[in-house]
Amino acid sequence: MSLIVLDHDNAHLLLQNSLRESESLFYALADATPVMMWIAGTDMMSTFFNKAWLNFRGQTLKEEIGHDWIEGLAPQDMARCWGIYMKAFASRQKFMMNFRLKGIDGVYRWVTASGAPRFTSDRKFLGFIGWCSDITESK
Amino acid sequence: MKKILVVDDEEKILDIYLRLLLPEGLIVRCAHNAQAATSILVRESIDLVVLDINMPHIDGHSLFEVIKQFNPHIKVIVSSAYPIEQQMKRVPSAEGYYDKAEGFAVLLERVQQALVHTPREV
Repeated sequence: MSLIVLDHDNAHLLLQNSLRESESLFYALADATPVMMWIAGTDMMSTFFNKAWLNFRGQTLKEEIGHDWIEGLAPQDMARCWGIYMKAFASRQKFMMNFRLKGIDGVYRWVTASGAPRFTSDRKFLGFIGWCSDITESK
Repeated sequence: MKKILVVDDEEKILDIYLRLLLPEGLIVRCAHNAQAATSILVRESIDLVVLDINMPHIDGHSLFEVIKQFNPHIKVIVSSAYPIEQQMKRVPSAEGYYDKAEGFAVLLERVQQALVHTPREV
C-alpha cells in the first residue's frame, strides 16, 4: 500500500482539473442530446444554450445569450411566459410552460419548456437550468 | 423606504430621473431596456416602475404586460413624449401617466401620488 501526500497547491490543481473535466463532460452531453437546453444565472441572463437549441433557432451562442432569446418568443405569448419565468426565478421554484418560439425558418413552433433552480451544496442559488421540446406536431 | 425602478433607453433621462428622485428619500434603480428591468424585478422588491413606452426591441407596452403578469401589485407610471391621451390608448391600465413635456415637478407629483397608495414598505 502506498501513501500519496498532496500539498495544498497540488490538491487545488487536482480539484480544478476534476471540475474542468466534469464541466466538459456536461457540455459534451448537453450538445449530444436532441432536447433543447439552456442555463441562466441568478439575474435570469442565459449563459449557455446547447446545439439543439441553437440549431432550432438558427442563432449562434453569442447571438442568443443574455436575454436576446426572449425576442424569439411569439409576441402573443411573451407576457405570459416571461411572467412565469420571472416568478420562477423570484421564488426559485420549478416551472413548466408551453409557448411558440421562432425557428430557423422564421416560423413559430410550439415548444414545451421546463426549468429547475440550481443550488450549490450549501443551498446558494446559482440560477436555472432548463430544457424544451418541439411539440408542434401534437398541437 | 420605497423603491422605484426607472426604465428608459435614454441614459440622459435615467440620469435626470435619478437626480430628481434620490433626494426624495427613494431608492432608485435604473434599467435601459426591458431585459435589464426584469432582472432587477426578480431580485428586488420594487414598489413603482416609471416606464418609457418607446424602447427598441421590446417596448414599454410589452414590458408593462410582463410586469403585471409577474406581480400585478407593482404600480406603473407610463412616461413618454406622447400626449397622455395616446399613452392611455397604448397602455390603458397603468396607475399613472406622465408626458415628458410636462416637466419634472409633475413627474415627482405623480410618483408621490402613486406611492401614497402603495402599502408595502421595504
